[in-house]
Amino acid sequence: MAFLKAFVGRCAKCDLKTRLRAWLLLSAIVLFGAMKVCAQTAPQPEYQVKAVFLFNFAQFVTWPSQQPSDAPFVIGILGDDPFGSYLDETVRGEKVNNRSLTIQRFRRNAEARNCNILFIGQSERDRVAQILSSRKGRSVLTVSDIDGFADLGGMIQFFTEKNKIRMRINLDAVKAGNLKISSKLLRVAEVAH
Amino acid sequence: MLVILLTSGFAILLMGTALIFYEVGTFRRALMSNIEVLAQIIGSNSTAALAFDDRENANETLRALAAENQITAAGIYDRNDRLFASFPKAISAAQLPPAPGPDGHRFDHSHLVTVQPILQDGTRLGTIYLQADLGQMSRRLSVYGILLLVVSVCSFLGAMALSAALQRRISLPILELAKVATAVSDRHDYSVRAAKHGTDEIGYLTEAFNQMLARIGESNAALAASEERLRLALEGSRTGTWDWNLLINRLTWDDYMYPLFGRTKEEFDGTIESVLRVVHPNDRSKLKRALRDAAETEQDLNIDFRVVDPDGAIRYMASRGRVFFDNAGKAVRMTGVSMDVTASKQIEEALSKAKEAAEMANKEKDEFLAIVSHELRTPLTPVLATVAMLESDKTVPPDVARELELIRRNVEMEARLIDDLLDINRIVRGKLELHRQVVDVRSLLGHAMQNYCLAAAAKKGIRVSMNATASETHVLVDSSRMTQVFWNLLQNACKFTPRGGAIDVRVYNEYRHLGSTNAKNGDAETLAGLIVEVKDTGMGIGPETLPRIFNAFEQGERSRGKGFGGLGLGLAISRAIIELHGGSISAVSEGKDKGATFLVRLNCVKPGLTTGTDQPVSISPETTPARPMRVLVVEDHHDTAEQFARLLKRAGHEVTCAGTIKEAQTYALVTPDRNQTCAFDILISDLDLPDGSGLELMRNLAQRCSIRGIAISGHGMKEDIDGSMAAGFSYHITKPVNWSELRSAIEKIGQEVSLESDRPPPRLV
Repeated sequence: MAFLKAFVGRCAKCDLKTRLRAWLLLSAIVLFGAMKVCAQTAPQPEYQVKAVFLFNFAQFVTWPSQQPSDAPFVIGILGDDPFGSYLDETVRGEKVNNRSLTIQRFRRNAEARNCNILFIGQSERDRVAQILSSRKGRSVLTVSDIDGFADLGGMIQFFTEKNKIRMRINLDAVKAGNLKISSKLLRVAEVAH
Repeated sequence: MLVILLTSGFAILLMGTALIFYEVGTFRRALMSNIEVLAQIIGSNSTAALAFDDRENANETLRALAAENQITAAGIYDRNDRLFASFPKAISAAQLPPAPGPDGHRFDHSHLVTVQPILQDGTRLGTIYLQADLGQMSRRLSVYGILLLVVSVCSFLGAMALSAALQRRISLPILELAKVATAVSDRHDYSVRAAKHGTDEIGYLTEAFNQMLARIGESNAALAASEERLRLALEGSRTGTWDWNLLINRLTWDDYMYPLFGRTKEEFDGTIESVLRVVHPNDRSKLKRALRDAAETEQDLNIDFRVVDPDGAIRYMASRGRVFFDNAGKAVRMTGVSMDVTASKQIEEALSKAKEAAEMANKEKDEFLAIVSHELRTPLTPVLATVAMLESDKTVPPDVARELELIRRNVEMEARLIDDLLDINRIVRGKLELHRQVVDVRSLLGHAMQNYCLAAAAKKGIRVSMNATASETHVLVDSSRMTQVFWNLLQNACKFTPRGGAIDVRVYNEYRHLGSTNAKNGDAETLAGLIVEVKDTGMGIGPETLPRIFNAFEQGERSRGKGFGGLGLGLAISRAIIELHGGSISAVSEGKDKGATFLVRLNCVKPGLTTGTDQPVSISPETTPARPMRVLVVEDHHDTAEQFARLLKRAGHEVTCAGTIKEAQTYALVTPDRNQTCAFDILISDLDLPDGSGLELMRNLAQRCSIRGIAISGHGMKEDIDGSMAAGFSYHITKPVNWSELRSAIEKIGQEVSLESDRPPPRLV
C-alpha cells in the first residue's frame, strides 16, 4: 500500500479527477492482478495447511521397506493441483528418514506409480471409486479432501469442522495397504468405521 | 567438658549442614530429571497435535500435568515460537513468556524452568516450557532444618548427660586423686588414701597410687626410724660424724662432735687446724700423718688420739673415716665418725695390766714349780743313792732288803710325779722342747725295759718278752723323751697286769706304699713307719674310757678305788711327746680284763747320722763287770757325794770326792803331766756348786785333758741340758739320780774310751 501511496503521491500535481481515475485504474489493475496471481500461484490458506499436513504424514506413517533406501520419498498429486507451489516450498530441503522428498503430479491414475503418498484432487471426484479400487492392497497412502473419500476406501480424508481442517482415517484401508499409522496421529484424527 | 560439648555440637552442625546441602543438590537433581522426563513425555505426546495443528489435543495433553502439583505453569510453542497450548487452563498469556527462550534448565526465583524441544523423528516441531515450583523443596529444607535443630539439641543434651555421667566415673576419681596428691605434697602426709571407684583402669590407677603412697610412707617411716636409730646410737655411744671437704679444707661437724672435742660451735671454725689445736700435742703429728696417708694410699682412716679438754683433762678419741676421690683420682672428700673411747681405753689399759700381772703370776708359778720340784727332788737323791747302796749290800737281810726296795720304789715314784707335774706344765705352755737325734729305737726300748721294767715285772712274776722284727729301726727323736714314753707304757703295763701275766713288746715296720701293691719292697719311694707295740694281759680299758685315757689326770676308771697311784699324767705326757715327734699313739682294748695294747707309730729315718748314743744298749743282766775307771765326784751335798762314792767303789771304780771347784781342780790337775792326760777318766759333777758352776769346771778341765763328764743337776730343762753339752759333758742326769742310769752312762763312757785306742771319739751331738 505504501508504494501505492507513493505512486499516488507522485501524481500530486495532477487534478483530482485525473488522480481519481488513475487511482481507480490502478486499483483495478492491482486487484485483478492480485486475483490472478492468487488464483495461479498462491493457494487458499486451507491448502497451505493441507500441504503441511501432507508433508507431516511422512513422519507419522510407516511404510513397508520395499523401496531402496536411497530412492526419493515421492508425494504424488493426481488431478488438479490445489497447492500451487506451496507444497514444493514446504518440502524443500526436508528429508524423511534420510530420504529426499519429491513432488510428482499426474493427470492420469495409471501414471501415478511409485508414490508413497498420493493426493487425489477434486477433479478426480467422479473417478475416486475406480482409482481406489485399482490401488487396493498397495502401499500408497491415499489422501484426499473429496467428501466420503474415507468411506469409499480412501485412507485419509481431510474435512473441515468449525473452521478447522481435520482428518478422517480408514484404518481398514491403511491395514490393507500394509501401512502403519502412529497412534499420535490417530489421536488428532477421526477414525472411520 | 565445655570443649567436648562445643566440638560435638559443631560436628553435629557441620554434619547437618552437609546433609542439607546434599539434600538440596539431590532434590534439585531429582526435580530436574523429573521435570525433564515430564517435558519429554508431554513433548512426545504433543508432536501430532503440533504437526496437525490440534491445539485442543495439545491442551489436553498439558492438562495431564495437573497430577504434578509442583508444575505451576507449562506451555507448548510451535516451531515459530508462538504459544500453541498452555497450562493451567486459567493461566493468562502474560504469565507465560512470549517465547520459550533457549533450551535447558534454569532456576528463576522460586521456580525451575525447563525448556525442551519437541521432536518427531529428529524434526523439531515445537518447544515445551515447564515451570516447577521450588516451594516444595524449601518446605522440605525447612523440615530438614527443624529436624537438624531438634537432633542437634537432643544430641547436645545427650552429650551433656553422657559427659556428666562419665565425669562421675572418670573425671571425679581423677580429680580426687589429684586432690589427694596435692594433699600429700602439701602436708607430706602419706597416710591419706584415695577412695577407689570400681575395678576399671581408674580403679587400678587409684590402687597403684595408694600402693605408691603406702610404699613412700613405709620408706619414709623406715628412713625416719633409721635416722632416729642413728641419732640415738650416735647420742648413746658418744659418737659424732664429720665431713671434710678436702678441696676447700672445710670440715663440717654434726652436733655431737662439739661436746666430743670439748669445744663450742663458736670455737670451731671448720678448719682441720682448729681440730689439731684441741689434739694432744704429742698426737698431732700422728693424726696429720694418718690423714695424709689415708688420702694418699686410698685406705680408710683408722686412728686413735688424745684430746685435751679446756680443763686439762685428757680423753681418748677414735676416728674412722673414708676418703672419696674424683674421676681423676684426686682426694676430694673424707667423711667418717669420731667417738670417745676413753672408757674402753681405760678398760684396755686395765686389761693389759691385768694380763701382765697374770703373765707375771704364771711365770712366777712356773718358777715356783721349777724351784719346788728342784727342792723336792734334791733330798730324794741321797735317799735313792743310799737305798741303792744298801740294796747292793749282800749282807743286808732279805726282809730289810724288801723294805729297802719299797722305800726306793716310792721315792722314785715321787720323783716321777714331780717330773710329770713339770712336764705337763711345759706341755700346757707349749714349752716342751725336743733334742732330736737319730737313734735306734731298740736301744731306747731296751734301756727303758732294763732300767724301769724288768725288775718290777720280775717281782710280780710277769713275763716280759721283746720281739723286734723291724728292719728299719732308726728314728729322729729326743732320746730321753722317747725313753720316758716307753717307760710310761711299760710302767702302766706292769701296774695294770696282774700277777702271772705277760707283757709283749713288739717292734715292727709298717710299709705304706704310695700306689704300689708290692709290700716289703724297701725302695726309696716307700715310707716306712715304725710301730712299737706294748701289749699286756691286764684289766683292759672299757670302751667308754678308751677315748679319754690320753687326757691329763685320767687314769682309767677313777672309781676303781684300787689305789694304783700316780696323777694320771703319764699317757697325756706321752701323747704330747709322740705328737711333737710327728707320730701317733693309740690304745686298743677288747674290753675289761682282756688286756690292752698301746701302739706308738713313728717315722723311720736312714741311719746315716750316727751319734754317740746310737749304740746298741746291752740288756744283759746287771752283773756285767764294769771296766774300772778313775772317777772324780764333785758334789757339795756331802751325803750325796758319799753315796756316789760308795756305789762307784762297789762297782769297782776308783773314786775321789771334791766339794768345790777349786778342790776338784786341785785333784784333777795335781799330776804335773803336761801330756794331756788327766788324773781321772770321768768327772761326775753337780752343776750348782758353792764356788761356781759345774759347767765352768768341765770347760776348764776339758781344755787341759781328755776327760769325760756326767752332769748332775736338779734342772732337766732343755737349756740346762744344752748348757751341759756345750760345756763338754757327755751326759746330763737330772736329780734324783737313778743309780742304774748313772751306771749305764759310766759303762758307755768306758766302752767309748776303750774304743778310742782304735779310732777318734765320735762327736757328741
